[in-house]
Order: sequence, then C-alpha cells, then structure tokens
Amino acid sequence: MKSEQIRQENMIQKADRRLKASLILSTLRETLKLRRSFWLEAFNQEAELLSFADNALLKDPAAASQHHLFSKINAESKQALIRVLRSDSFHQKIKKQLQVAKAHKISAVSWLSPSYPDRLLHISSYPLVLYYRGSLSLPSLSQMNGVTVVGTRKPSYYGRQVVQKMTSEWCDRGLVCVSGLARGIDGLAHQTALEKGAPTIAVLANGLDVVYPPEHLALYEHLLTNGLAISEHPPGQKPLRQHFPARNRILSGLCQAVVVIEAAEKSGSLITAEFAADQGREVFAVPGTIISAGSRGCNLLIKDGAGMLLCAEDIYLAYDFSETTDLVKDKPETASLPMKKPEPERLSSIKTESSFQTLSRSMSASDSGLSALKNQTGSENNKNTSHSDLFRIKDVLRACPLSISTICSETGLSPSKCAILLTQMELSGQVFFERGHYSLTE
Amino acid sequence: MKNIQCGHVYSAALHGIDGVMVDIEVTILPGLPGFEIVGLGDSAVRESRNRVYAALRNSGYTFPSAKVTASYAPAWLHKTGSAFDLPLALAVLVASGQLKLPDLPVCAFGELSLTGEIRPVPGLICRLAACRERAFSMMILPEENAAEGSVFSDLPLYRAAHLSQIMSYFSSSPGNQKRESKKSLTVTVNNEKAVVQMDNLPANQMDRLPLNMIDDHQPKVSQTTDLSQIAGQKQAIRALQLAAAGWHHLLMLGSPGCGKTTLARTLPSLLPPLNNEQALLVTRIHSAAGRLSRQGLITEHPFRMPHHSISRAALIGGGLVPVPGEVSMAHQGVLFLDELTAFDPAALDAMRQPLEEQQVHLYRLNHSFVYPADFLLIAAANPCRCGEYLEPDSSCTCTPEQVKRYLGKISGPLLDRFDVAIEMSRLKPYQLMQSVLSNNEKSQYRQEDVKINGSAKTSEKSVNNEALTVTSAVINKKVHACHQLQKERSLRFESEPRLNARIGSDRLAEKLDIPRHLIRYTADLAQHFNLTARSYQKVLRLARTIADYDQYLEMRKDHIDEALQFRLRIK
Repeated sequence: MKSEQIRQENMIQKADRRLKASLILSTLRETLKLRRSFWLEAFNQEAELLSFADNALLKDPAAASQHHLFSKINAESKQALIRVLRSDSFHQKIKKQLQVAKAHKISAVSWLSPSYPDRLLHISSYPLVLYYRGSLSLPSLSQMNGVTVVGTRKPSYYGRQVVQKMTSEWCDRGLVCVSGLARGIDGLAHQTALEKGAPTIAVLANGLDVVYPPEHLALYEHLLTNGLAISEHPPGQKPLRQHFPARNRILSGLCQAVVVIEAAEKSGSLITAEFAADQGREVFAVPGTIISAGSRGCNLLIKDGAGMLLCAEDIYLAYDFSETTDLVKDKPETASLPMKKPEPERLSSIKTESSFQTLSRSMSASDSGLSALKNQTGSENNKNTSHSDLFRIKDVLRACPLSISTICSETGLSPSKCAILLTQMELSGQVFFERGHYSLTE
Repeated sequence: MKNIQCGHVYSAALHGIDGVMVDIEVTILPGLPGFEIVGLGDSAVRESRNRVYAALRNSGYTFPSAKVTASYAPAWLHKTGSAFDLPLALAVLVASGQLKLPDLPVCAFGELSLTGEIRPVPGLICRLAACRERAFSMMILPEENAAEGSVFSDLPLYRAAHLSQIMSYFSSSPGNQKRESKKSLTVTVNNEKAVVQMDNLPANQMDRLPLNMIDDHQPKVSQTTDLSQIAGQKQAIRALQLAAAGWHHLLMLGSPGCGKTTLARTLPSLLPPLNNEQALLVTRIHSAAGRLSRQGLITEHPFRMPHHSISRAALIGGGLVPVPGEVSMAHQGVLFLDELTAFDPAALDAMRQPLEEQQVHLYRLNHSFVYPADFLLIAAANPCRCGEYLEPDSSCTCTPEQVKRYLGKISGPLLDRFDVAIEMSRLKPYQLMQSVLSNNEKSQYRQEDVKINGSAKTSEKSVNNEALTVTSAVINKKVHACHQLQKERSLRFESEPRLNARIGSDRLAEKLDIPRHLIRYTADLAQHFNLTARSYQKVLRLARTIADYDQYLEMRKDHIDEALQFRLRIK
C-alpha cells in the first residue's frame, strides 16, 4: 500500500522533472543558437539533464555553472547561457509552458530517457525532446508493430476507399496506424482506426495544445482517448510551414514501414517516403490511374522501386508477428488524470448496408406498385432498351471520369436519357459524382 | 368679358414608366415684359423659357413683350424634363394670336432647339398612353419619336421636325395656300454665317403618321449564334432549352473558354416573339429609360448583358430621376450576368427583391416607383480562382478552402435562386473541330470519331439525326408550344397566365398537376440528397417543365430523375 503510493509519487515527480527538463531544453535551443551536437555531448545520462534543469530553475547560475557542460563552450556562449538563465522572461516562459502542459496533460521526455522510442533513436537527426499526450504509454511505441500511412490532402474517391479499406484490415490484424492528422488521407486513416476501436498515433508539426487543421478538432479529441499524439514542439508552438517536412522524419522513423496511398507528383508524402528510404524502412505505394495526376507520385515511387501494395496483406511481409502486439494502456502519471479509462470496444458503427442500397430497395418496391400506373400512360420505355443504355454508359465510364455532356457525346444518347439513367445509377450506388464528372464505383 | 389672351395646349409628364396628363395654359397680361412658368417645374422646365423664346424668335415669330405667364396643371405635380417646350411654344403662339388651333384640344410633345427644331423626348409611348383617355384632335410628336408613337395606330398622330412646319400646316388650311413661312434662316455659328434651308428639312410639312409605320421599323439585327453551331455541351444545351421553356433561372459553372458566354448568346433566338401586351410594356420601359432610339414597338425579348462593374443603382434602377435599371430593362427578357463572382456583392444582393417579387420598388422623398422586373436570369461563373476545378485531370491548383471561398462570393441566398445549375468542362479535340466546320464536314468527323470510340453502329445515326434537328428555329417552336401549354394550365388556378417557374408555391402539386406518388418519390430523394424545401419545389417545377417540353401530359418518374441532375452540387 504505502510502497505503492510512494512509487506512484516518485513516478509523478520524475515525470514532472522530465517535463521541466524538456521544456527548458526546448526553450534554450530556441533562444541560443548552439549546435545540436553540443547538447548531445553535454549530457550522457538523464540524471545529468534533470539536475541541470533543476539548477537552472533555481535561478542559480553559480550552481548551474558548476555543471561540466560549461567547460565545453566558449566564453561568449557561456555568457549568453548565463544571461538567459538569469533572465525573467525565460523563467516566465517556462512557467507558462508548464501551466499549459499541466492543463492539457502533456508529458515530455528527452532522448536520454528510457521511455524514448527505440526505433526513433536510429534515425539520423532524432528529436531531442518528445512531447506526448493521450491514453497510450510511450514505451509501447517501441514494442508495437506500426505502419505509417501518408497521402495527399485532396484525395479522390478512389484514395478514400483505399485508405479506409486497408486501414480497417490492418487494425484488425493488430497493426497500429501512425499518421500526421492532416486533411485527406491522414485524417481518414485515423478516423477509420478509431471507428474500429483500434488505437492510433498522430505525429504533429505543432504544439500538442494546438489543433491543426481546425476541422480535425473532434477527431483529435477522440484520438486522445484512444491513442497518442506526439510532437517535438513545445506547447503553444503554431504549425509553421517549415515544420512539416521535419515532422515527416518522425513519421517514418516510428515504424517499420511507410505506405503512400495516393500522392501527386509534388506531394509532401513523397518526402516522408524519402526519409523512410534513408532510414532503412520499407516503402510501399498503392498504384493509381495513370490518366489523372492524382496518383502520379505513387506510380513513380513504384517505378523507382517501392513495394507495390495491391491489398492489405501485401504489407505483412515487412512485419514479424511473433511477439505480442498489445499496446500498454498508460497508467496515469499525474494525479489530475482520471483514474480509469474504459477498454476500447469494437464500434459497430460501420453500416452493413450503404444508404444507397436501402433507398434503391425501397424505390424498387414503389416501382412495382407503379408499374400498373405506368402501363396506363401508354408508351413506356422498354425495359430492355434502358438496360442496354445503362450498359453503354457504364462502358464509357470504365475508362475515366466523364461529364454528362461527354457521356452524351460518347454514347450517342440524348442528354435527357443520360440524366435519367445517371440519377438512377447514382441512387443505386453504381456511380458517384465529383467535381463535375461521373465515375464508376467499384 | 374683356378679351383674354390665352392659349391652351395639352401634354403629358413622365412619372417612372407611366405618363400623367398635363395642361399647359399660357396667358398674356399687360405689364412689364416677363416670362414666368408656374407649376412645380424642375430646372429643365425653367430653362424652357430660354429655349422657347429663342426658338420662336429664330423661326420668325414674335415673342409678346408683355407679362407672359404659363401654368402647368395639375399644380401640385412635379414636372420634369424638356418635353413641354413644344406645347409651351404653341400655347404662347396661340395666346399671342399668331397661331389658330382647331377647337378640339391638341396635345404636343417635344423639346425645342434654339433654332426651332423639335427634338425627341424619352418615354413618349408612356405619355401617349396617358393621353389616350381624352379625345384629342391632334397629337403632335417629334419626328424621331414617330416610330414609337405609331404603336397606337388609332390615335390622330402627327409628326413634325420643326416648329415652322406646324405653323405652316395650320396656316395653309384649305383655301389659304399662301405659305408665310420663311424659306431660309440665317444662323450665326462661330462668327460665320450659315444658312439653314427650311426646304431641306426632312418633311416639308407636318404630316399625319402613315398607318404602315408599324412595319417600318427595322428588326433588331441580332448577334445571336444559332444553336446548331454549338459543338458538344449537350447537357448545357438541354439546360438552356429547359430554362427558356419554363423561365427557370440558370447558372453555368465551368472553366474559362468552355462556351458559357457563347451558349448564353443563343438564348434570344430560342424565345418566341412577345405578345402585344408584353411588347407594349417592354417598349414603355425602354422608352422611359430613353433607350428606344428611333425604334418602334419592341417585339423581341430583351437581352441585357451588363458588365460586371455595374453599380447597384444601374442594376436595379435609381438615380435622381428613377431610371429603370437593367433588371427592368430585361423585363420579359434575359438578364445575362457573365463572371458572376466579379459583380459587386451589394449590387447582387439588391437583386433579391426583383427575383422574389418580379418587381422593383424605388423610394423617393414624396413618392415611390414600382417597375416591373420579371426576367430570366442566366449567370456564368468559374468554379474556382484558377477555373479548373471541374476539369477531369484535377489540374486545379486551388485548395478546397479556396474553392469554397471563391463560390462563397456569390451569396448563398442568390445561389439558392437558381433553378437549374450545370457544370461544364472544356471540349474534347474532335468537338473543337466541329465548332468551326460546316455541317457536312461535321457529320463526317462525327462518324469517324464514333468508330474510334467503338460504340455501336446505331448510335451514329441517332447522333447525326439529332444534330441536324437541333437548330434554333426548331427549339423556338418547341419553346413557344411549351409556353402555351403552361399558360393554359396556369389559367385554371391563377388570374393571369404564368410559366412554371413563376407559379406560387401554394398548392403547387395541384397547380402543376403532379401525381401523388411522384411527390412522395421526390420527397424521399430530397431527404437522400439533402435538399431544402425550396430545392424540392424547384425539382418539381423543373420536372413539370421537362414533361411539358417533351410533350407528356402525365408527369413521370423519369422527369424527376432528370430534374435532379440540374441541382447545384458544388457548394
């Protein structure tokens, strides 16, 4: 009992110190322009970092200056460091960030901490500090089988279908999906995983209290209840343009494999793929139509040697499923967290029948009642001809998306007939309309 | 009673697009020479005095040097404009004994130049309409307004180009052939003497308007393209026909150069001629706006295409003297707004009332004007800033927010008013060829192309036949027939004939003769497609127009299905 309590207290204290140390480190790196290697060499163990942080907060530059790290820098930088450590603005900033972090339950570790994900240490410029929040524990990132899913921010219907299908199957198999919470493919990957009740991990290019893009607010909150959000940026940091490519290296570094679902030629997801290749991870891409430019990036990746993903199972080659893949739910480290989180349930929110189909069934029922009426009105379209017309339309749509006018020209049917058939096909789910053009659904 | 020297001539004032009859009385009293006009005239009326004085003197008549007082009755009505110059001059001449008019009243309209020429006035047809109730022996019009006036062939209309013509007409009554008018007139212009020959003036005498004047006016040389010259864009052509047939507002979205403007320009050729009542109203509006220019009755639907830099006042009407705006000028016609997103949002917003009520209220301090504005709105816009959102190759460089923001410039309520919306994309290469070839060559290319696409042989025939039959003349007839059908049906419920898009929403199913099961069917679909109540009604109206246009008495499910294709899908 007591020892348990003491252990808990110690853990909370440790987490606190880690958070403070991380915040100090982040702030110092921002204000001072010292080389990354300086910081890496300065501390060999976590304890050293933590004690330095404690001293720094005591506003005692004398004590801090005892630290051996001071011997490694030149006098100029030393002066700068002492100045910063003495300055009020520094301490105020740390205090404020601490408040925000506590309020949002953000925790942090440095690269020296044992909790830091192993796989991430193997990449060339791993982040020195990792902030995280959510319901998973950080060490579980080292044990999980994760797959990084990236893609365009403007996916087509095809891309949307692919990501949903694959993510869903991967979650069933036990792979954890990691993505960037961006619009488009990223968001859909997270969403699908969460709907299945599987945890998912988001890597952000901003502070964990900031939600970007704003549309994903609800998604983010859901993710925090069943997943983890991590970032190398302290709380309050806004998403700046230059942060995104850097964030991508973490995305690829966390998992054994990276999958690009749909990417145009200049997509940011290709940067992630490049990082992956440099880091020695497996890169897979899903091919797409060569007519539209939407999938050109993916097709080029495959041409350059990435693995071609034709179904969800293709990726399992990259994984070793022998070890257990259950993720450890995080025990609350700070007292302010609620004590218990409910076990994730498989949400049966996935409809077994699409709304199109129900409507078409109800329509066909009303149709049969109408058939008597129709015969009364005389010349009715012969069911046979309308059937063959339907096939004609389907035929021309197989090649690529077409506008109604083009469908008319290609099939030779009147615009009136085309419109009628297309509306019916849209209702029964055989085609869908996007950006002025009709395409077949598969 | 002492000899009263006075003259009495009638005229009419223009009040919006209506005329109001005005009595012009002139009396000459002993006293110091002066010339006063009373009757709440505006500056132009006050300046009249100078014009009339100069015109009378320069035409060789004398201006009485006594106290001349003119009164425009009714005294409480504000009179504006220069149309009273001529009747005033005539009244002065009568009062001073230089002119003897017949006993029956005479009315006249016209502005006077300093040399006595008679200038045209705006809104003549509106003024004449006001003077119809009274029996006039003569109604004198300026020469240039003659064609306009000839609409009222039952009135005793006379045209004159110069004051002296009128005078000579009255002085050369039977028995008195001696013409006293001067043969020539010396005018000093820029210190050079120029001689104006009276005989060279268009008509030697004021003459009665010939009865065949009505056919005299030139039909408008339309720049409209024929529908058969448009290549591809089948869906858009269908939409255009339906818009014309049922008077449904049409929105065209598409990349630059895909044919939106060309298509809109074909619309005038699709609309049947106006009936007499409509023609008269349209002519009155154009006349009141001063835009009739020597034309007679307007028999074609107006086609107005204002530039997108138009101001709010110019669009819906207004200004110091409330001039009818473009929406009123397009009454019974087409208002085509190209580049809808470039229009001033305030101007577009002001269009809500005319779109809703088919009229425009303009309020001034003492009174208000109501101008009719029942027009067909056609608008064209790009879907996004780069314009490529609807092209199949997703070459659009805009983010989804940019697309939303661009279309958001057209306010939601305005977007909601469009009954038919189509998305157009650029023509394929073979269609581009067709757009510049003659009909024979066209069919040749079409066949080839169909073979390339591997479609069945039967489609060739149908395509060819279709192309040859779709000409503006053919469509014109179909639209006309469709209009007739709608008007007959509407008269069963409404007091005046209305087209489908203008029928009130109360008891719509009954008025449009839509069977109950189709109402339910559409309601189900409305829920599926997330339609608002207004969209739901629009679908029903459009479906009825489709049925009417394709000549079905009973509406069918197919018509609803087709109508649903025309809902706006980009938001």
